[in-house]
Amino acid sequence: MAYNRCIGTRYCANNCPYKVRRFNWADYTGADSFPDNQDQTIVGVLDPAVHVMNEDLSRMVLNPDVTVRSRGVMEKCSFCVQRLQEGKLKAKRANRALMTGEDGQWDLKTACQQSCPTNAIVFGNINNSKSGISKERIENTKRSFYSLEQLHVMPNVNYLVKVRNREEHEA
Amino acid sequence: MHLKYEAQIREPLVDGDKDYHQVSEDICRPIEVKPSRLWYIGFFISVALLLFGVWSVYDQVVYGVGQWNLNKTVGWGWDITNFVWWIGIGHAGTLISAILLLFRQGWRTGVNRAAEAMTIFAVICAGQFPIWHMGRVWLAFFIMPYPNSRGPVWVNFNSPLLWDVFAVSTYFTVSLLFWYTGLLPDLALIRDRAKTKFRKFFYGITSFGWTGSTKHWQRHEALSLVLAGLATPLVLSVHTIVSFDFATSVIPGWHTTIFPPYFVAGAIFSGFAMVQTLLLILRKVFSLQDYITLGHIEAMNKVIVLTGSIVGIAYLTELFIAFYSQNQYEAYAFFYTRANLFSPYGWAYYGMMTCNVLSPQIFWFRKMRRNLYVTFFMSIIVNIGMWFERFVIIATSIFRDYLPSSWSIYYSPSIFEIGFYVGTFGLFFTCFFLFSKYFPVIAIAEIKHVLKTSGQNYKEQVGGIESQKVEEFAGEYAH
Amino acid sequence: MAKKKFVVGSFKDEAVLFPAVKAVRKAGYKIHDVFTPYAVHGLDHEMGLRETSIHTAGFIYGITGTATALGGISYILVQDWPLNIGGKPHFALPAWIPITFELTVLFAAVGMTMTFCYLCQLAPFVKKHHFVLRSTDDTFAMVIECSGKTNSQDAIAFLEANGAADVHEQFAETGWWFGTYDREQQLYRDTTVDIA
Repeated sequence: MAYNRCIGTRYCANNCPYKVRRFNWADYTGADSFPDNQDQTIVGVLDPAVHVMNEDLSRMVLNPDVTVRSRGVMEKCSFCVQRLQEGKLKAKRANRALMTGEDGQWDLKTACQQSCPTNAIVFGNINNSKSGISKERIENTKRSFYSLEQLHVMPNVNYLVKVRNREEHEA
Repeated sequence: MHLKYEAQIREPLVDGDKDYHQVSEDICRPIEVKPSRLWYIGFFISVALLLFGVWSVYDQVVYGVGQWNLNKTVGWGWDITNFVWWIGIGHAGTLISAILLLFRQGWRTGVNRAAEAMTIFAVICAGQFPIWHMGRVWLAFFIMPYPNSRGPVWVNFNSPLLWDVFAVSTYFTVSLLFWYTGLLPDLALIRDRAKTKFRKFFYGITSFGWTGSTKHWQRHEALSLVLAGLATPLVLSVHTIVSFDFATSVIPGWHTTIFPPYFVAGAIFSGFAMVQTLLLILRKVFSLQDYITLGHIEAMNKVIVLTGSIVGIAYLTELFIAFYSQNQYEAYAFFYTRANLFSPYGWAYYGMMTCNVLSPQIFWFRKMRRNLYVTFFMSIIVNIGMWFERFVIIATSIFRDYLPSSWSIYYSPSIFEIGFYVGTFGLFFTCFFLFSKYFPVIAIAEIKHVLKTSGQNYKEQVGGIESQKVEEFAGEYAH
Repeated sequence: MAKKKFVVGSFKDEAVLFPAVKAVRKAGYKIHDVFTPYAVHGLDHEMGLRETSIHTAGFIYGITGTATALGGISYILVQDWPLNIGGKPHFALPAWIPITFELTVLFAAVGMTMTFCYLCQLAPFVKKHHFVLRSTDDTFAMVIECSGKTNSQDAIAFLEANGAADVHEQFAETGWWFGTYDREQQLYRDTTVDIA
């Protein structure tokens, strides 16, 4: 997603069969170029939350690595591109390839993967057949599926079906 | 004299025993008198609506698209519905001018000028929507493929939205050129009749110095014919390209190959209805019943019933295929979201079916086709129905698409979206009122062109031809 | 530009104008122009005017449009900055058809209209002389150029014999100049030219 180039037609979101794209309907961060856009006589009553980011102190909660999206721009999961970049740089400094699960080594984990309490999420480099994600996909070909596969949009996210016939399996 | 002879059984295109001078008088009179009270009232109402629209758009541009009731699921609602609606209306004007010219239909001369003006104003109104619906309007120039120092970074030529940009701008330009070159001789007439200095000045400039020289007419005819030939595929292609915005997606209810012909037929349908609305009022107010005859009204109603029936067949085809294809998503879109009285939008779908499929069938009856009140009422109904068609297509398909996790709340417009739409009506009617006051609403030179063969008095005079021998006739009339 | 002598005949009917034009050409007079309120079919041939080349111009402009569209888009999406858009091939000709078609039509229409205005010498603020003011209303005006050898009285009589409603002599400047129609144009020096 190239935020700079987005003019906000929302066509991409309409076309998304998964509806994972989200639009910035208003100026949530006080960042954009219209001086009046929080003037309540023009735009009507605003929720106090909208004003939170107007102060420099509150703005410090924002992660400096993550681009603040402006009003009118479409966004979606970026697969933690800033962590990815940091991981790539770490690998480069150590003069080796990026590790996403080869031999249990992770240069980076996406936020969702890191926070998931049950390790349900695996992110990695599918171009490397030894990475965590590739191993999951290769070992679980019968369980692995893509949502709305028939649309052939070739998503990067696959899911593993729950194994239900446990008793038989155990027996 | 040319060999064209029109049969006596055809209705005259120009009633009332007119000669050339009378034609000029009749059509120029509304321009040369002061505007009536009715004109002022209409004009100021239109300007008021326009100002309301300007305020709505200003507020939305300052705050953000969030002033509208769109959400993550329904990204396009009234904005793009109105865009397609206005563009569809615009197509009738070009069809009347261009396609009927190629088909040598003389009756186009009574209606083409007003219809083309309607097209131009409708396209201007349509163009407002893609511009102001953008999240970052101030970067709208990003859509243009121009060499730049950012790489150079180009536009995505594979995107239907970009095809739209080219299609709508080309359509606007070509319609404007066609309309204006047709206007030149008529503006010259007004200039030559002008009594006041200001009128001579204004119409002198706008008529470009037209004199009526034969060589110029020769080129003018050639240009008109080629522009008509170019505008004809434009009518077909522009709305096809607009339909591609939906047809090239994957959403059920959008991703269907029937859209190009369905949209084009629908466009002509709604456009002719709008032409009827405008012309019925125009002919009454300006006393132009001799030029916009019942024959003209009837011919346009025939087109309405034809295209309405095509649209009806398209609806039924879609419904059938939704069932026959056994595609569960398509079937859901049609049988649960649309053609279902208990669905949140079921009322819109049934309203659309009634207005577009059932009601125009009244025009199978000649008496109804020639009845002015029925025609006027029907023209409004058809336009409402066609608005609902675009709304149903756009909103209901994305409202309940593939994954239930995506579904969100019922979409209905906010005051800003309504204001925007109402504002475009203001814009359209402001332009149309100005047009009807300062420009001739009927193509004078073209009426004169058909007067000798299709005017009422001439038809009566040349009635004797039918008893003549072929050789006598050819000898007299050939050159 | 200088003023020349013209004999101007006004006709009320197309059916009278046609044989008159034929007769005038046969008699050897030089028709400067015929001004009509609408396009009279066949009059250009009757006057011996050559076919317009505006069709050819239009075709050339259209081809230019096609070439510009296809060439430009191909260069951009294949050579300059190829992108993987949905896995489609870089040279996605079917996707470019709409734009190519639109640009063809646009170039042809705009080009032809501008050529038309240029050839007919039409533009805002262009002013030309009216031979007969009612020629845009209901009168067909035939204007015969008088050289030094033309006997204008004969010409007047000839036109009247051929059905002209009103014939008179005029000294006028032809061509165009910048001006507006609310004022009469004054020549700096009134020069009347005799064409030998």
